[in-house]
Amino acid sequence: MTAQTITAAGGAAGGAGPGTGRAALRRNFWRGVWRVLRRKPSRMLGAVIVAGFALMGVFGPMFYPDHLPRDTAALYAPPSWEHPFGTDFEGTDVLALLITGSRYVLLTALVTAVITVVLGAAIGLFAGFRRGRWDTVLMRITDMKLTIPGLPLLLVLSTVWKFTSALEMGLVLGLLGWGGVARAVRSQTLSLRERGFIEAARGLGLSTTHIIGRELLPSMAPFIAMNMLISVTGAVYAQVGLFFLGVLPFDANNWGVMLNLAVFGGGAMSSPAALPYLMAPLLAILLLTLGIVLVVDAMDEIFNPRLREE
Amino acid sequence: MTVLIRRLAGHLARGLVMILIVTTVSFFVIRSVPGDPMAAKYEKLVEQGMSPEAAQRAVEVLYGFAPSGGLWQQYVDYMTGLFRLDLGQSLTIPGVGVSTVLFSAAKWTILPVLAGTLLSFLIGVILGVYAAVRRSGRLGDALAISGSLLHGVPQYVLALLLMAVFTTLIPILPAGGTADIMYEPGLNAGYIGSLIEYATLPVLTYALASYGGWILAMKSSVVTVLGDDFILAAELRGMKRGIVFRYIARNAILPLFTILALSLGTLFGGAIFIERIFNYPGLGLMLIDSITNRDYALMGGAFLLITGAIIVANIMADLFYTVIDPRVRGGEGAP
Amino acid sequence: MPTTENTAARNAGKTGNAGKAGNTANVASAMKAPGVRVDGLTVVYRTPAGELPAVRGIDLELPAGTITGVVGESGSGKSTLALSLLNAVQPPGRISAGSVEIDGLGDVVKLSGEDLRKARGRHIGYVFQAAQNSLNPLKTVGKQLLDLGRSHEIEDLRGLVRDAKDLLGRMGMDGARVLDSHQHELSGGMRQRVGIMLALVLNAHLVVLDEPTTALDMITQANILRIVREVHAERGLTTLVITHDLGVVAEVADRLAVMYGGRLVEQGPTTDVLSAPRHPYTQGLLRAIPRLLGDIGEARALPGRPPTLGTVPARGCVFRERCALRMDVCETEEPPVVVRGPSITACHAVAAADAGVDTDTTAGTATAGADAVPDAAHPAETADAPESAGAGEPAGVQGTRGEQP
Repeated sequence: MTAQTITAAGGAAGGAGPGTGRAALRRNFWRGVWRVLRRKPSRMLGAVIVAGFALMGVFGPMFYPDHLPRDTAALYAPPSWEHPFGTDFEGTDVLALLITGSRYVLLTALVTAVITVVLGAAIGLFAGFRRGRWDTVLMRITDMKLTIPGLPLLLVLSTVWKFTSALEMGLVLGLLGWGGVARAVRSQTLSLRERGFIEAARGLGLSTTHIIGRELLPSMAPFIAMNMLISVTGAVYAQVGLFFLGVLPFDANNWGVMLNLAVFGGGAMSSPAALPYLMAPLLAILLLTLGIVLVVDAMDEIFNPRLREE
Repeated sequence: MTVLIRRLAGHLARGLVMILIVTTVSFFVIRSVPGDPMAAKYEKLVEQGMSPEAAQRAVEVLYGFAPSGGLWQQYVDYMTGLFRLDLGQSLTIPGVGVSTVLFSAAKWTILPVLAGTLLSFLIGVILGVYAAVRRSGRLGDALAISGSLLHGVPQYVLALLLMAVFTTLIPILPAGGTADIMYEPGLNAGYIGSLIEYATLPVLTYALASYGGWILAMKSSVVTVLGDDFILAAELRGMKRGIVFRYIARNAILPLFTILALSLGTLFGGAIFIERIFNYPGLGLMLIDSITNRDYALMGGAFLLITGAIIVANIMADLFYTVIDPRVRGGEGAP
Repeated sequence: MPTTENTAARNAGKTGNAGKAGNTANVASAMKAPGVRVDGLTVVYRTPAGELPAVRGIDLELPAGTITGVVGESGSGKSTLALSLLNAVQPPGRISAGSVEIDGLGDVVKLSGEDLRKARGRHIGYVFQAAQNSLNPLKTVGKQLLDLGRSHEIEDLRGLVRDAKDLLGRMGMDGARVLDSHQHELSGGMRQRVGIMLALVLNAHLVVLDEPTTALDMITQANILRIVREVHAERGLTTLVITHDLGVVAEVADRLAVMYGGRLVEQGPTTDVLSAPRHPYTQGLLRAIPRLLGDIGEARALPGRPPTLGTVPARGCVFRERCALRMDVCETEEPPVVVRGPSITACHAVAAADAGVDTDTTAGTATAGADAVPDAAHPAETADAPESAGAGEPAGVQGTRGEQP
């Protein structure tokens, strides 16, 4: 039912605007998105999950005070109406911890994804477009980056850098993670080149900025968008993992800190009563992964004409 | 043969450059730690009443290099030590060389990683073939989906779930360590049984974490080979099903061997979580401990060894491919 | 036109000789070469738009001991036809109707399981296009030969290797060295000869060659065609050559069948079809070939494009969209089969012309002939157009040639 209202609204909005070609194109695109989402309900679920997490990260912490209340009478309380995931070792509500912690996690992931994709796409495009010496040098660097193991390097870096803010953390993860995207974008650029794309545009006397901005980037945009979503999951894993290992100071509350305290501090492993405390962040990670996997699957079908059925 | 040697030489040269870069970077990263740890230690020792000379010597022993002299001199000393496999002295275990500590820890990483990877490789490859052949069926579909889900889940989540299930909810397996202390280490049945019992969860985690990837890789590889002309050709020549199957399997598995070698390398890095969670004293746990103890010599060494393992795995993967694929062996595009 | 005539005549001479050589050899091994009768063969492919026919209602006979060439553009269904001879149409395609009777085997369409597997290789040899990799890249040719022998329960594997070496030697190669090679060590022409060896080494006497010379250079092409001709004669084979190249057919085939849009539009002795094509499509094909010693302007491409699986008309003549002799009846009625001597043509215009010119031809069915009569004026009209000036002429030539044998 909501489905119908949304289409109706979309249709009305599209119809209200002046019927330019661009608007019509956009309307068709959204219709295509809608069709793909509707055909498999699981994809709808994915979109809902991702949207839900985004809302949680933006608005969730507003509902809680800076210092979460502690109920010292109920340490490791079992799940109840009052505490859906129970309480932690200090009697703090686990759900509250989860929601307030999500902002750091999701903000880091967003920053990481943006940096990864922007840097990776720029380097990949440049290497693939210029070819020759630049390409060789950049790809050698990329290879080296891909060889150095990310997690151990992060651990070593953590001795120097404290990653206190989410932005800082995202910056470091992004700077470490662009290798894969650069490689993929480069090979896409090269294959577009092979198809005579660039030569044709050159032949028409188009400028380099025009070729890259108007020809290459749009044809790779879906691919880049998918990579961005995938690097969001990567970033979530990496930073939650870092905090979980306990090598970083716990300045802010986040899922990794929760995991660390549950496993190494709270003794969740020795008493089943503390399990909900451990399970809550794990479930959050799994749910977010599931949502992103489903959305990537849907995007794959929207943008990949081979898979699309008309 | 010459192709093999040429490739090996190229790889070794590139690997050496990589190791040089990694050590250089880790050296300078560690030395740039705010509030020089060696100076801090030195001051502390002096405060405790040690003479400046004695404190100086103690710090030298602890950190494995002379804190005096310029940064450049320290770097040169460290690098020359590297060529003699001398990575300095460990801070946490005084008097023992970093290399010794590392090599004794390495076996606790190598064995479980190998066992887990090979296990998941075998199972994943077999199920991957099935998922490819029955790709339109329900079970094939289910296998592929289970593969992509498991592939997406980070190792530590799997490890924590396994731990919660098998040590807390149904406590049938030990939560951490390498073996029960009541057994005398050695070749006795009790100790070996205990080793296996304690290794079960780590190995299972390694296996589950990589199994999804194998299913997906094998499935897509088999689907590609099934579309190759020579498979249809073999069928049209009336080859037996078993022989056609062997043609498919051998061609499909070839690219996976490369991934296998590569993944062995990267698993060394991934071992950090699993070893931390199951308190398994391998390289990963060593790296974490060295970081919490600010044992820089050990930290640099562990990082170097992990990176080295990945570089070696890369080289092995390529050489292995050269050996088993006649197309590469003979040099590309002969006629 | 004179150039065309000359070339055709030259080709006719060549094929005539080859055909004779083949026939004499066949006397010795006449027992072995099987005849093949394809009857009403229809192959459909499952698509999102339902099952579409790739090959429809094919009637074709491969007389024992002859080389038959099937010519058609890509997408005309000729490769599907070739695979049907081994009952090996790949999913999502399937043979939905018709039969393929092979002497000594019966109806291949009804074979399945082990019987079908053993028939392949043993009775029917299949040679792939040279550009396709028909060999396992990881195994030497020799090992694959042994796999083949084991698959067909050959006891004397040494004998098999000896036969293979003989065959390879016969084709001008160092047998021992080739058997010890991997696919990537062989050139395109060598691979093709290995393919022929593997198709023949089990003594199959029906051989299907799918685009045997595509992607080979001219000299290698000529060599392969010579080998096909010689081996055919020596071993006493029944051979089917699938190609898009009329030159290949002119070089080797005794009989020629032309496919278009999944139908057989014309068939007959190669000489007759090439020198006096009756179907407008065959005429167009021949006119489209540029001559080595002629004005390129003389070559005229067929207008329009060949149909694909989805665009083939469901009713009426499949060629009508591009046909200069198109009539109203082509839209609705299946073209009648016009038999004239050893040649068969499926075309309304030809049927109408025959009905007007001479009466002794059995123009398919009586009704088809009757249908054609009212439209008899149409071909006359179109014949006035300069392009189709040749349409009437070949019919005349055909008439005289047809009486020669």
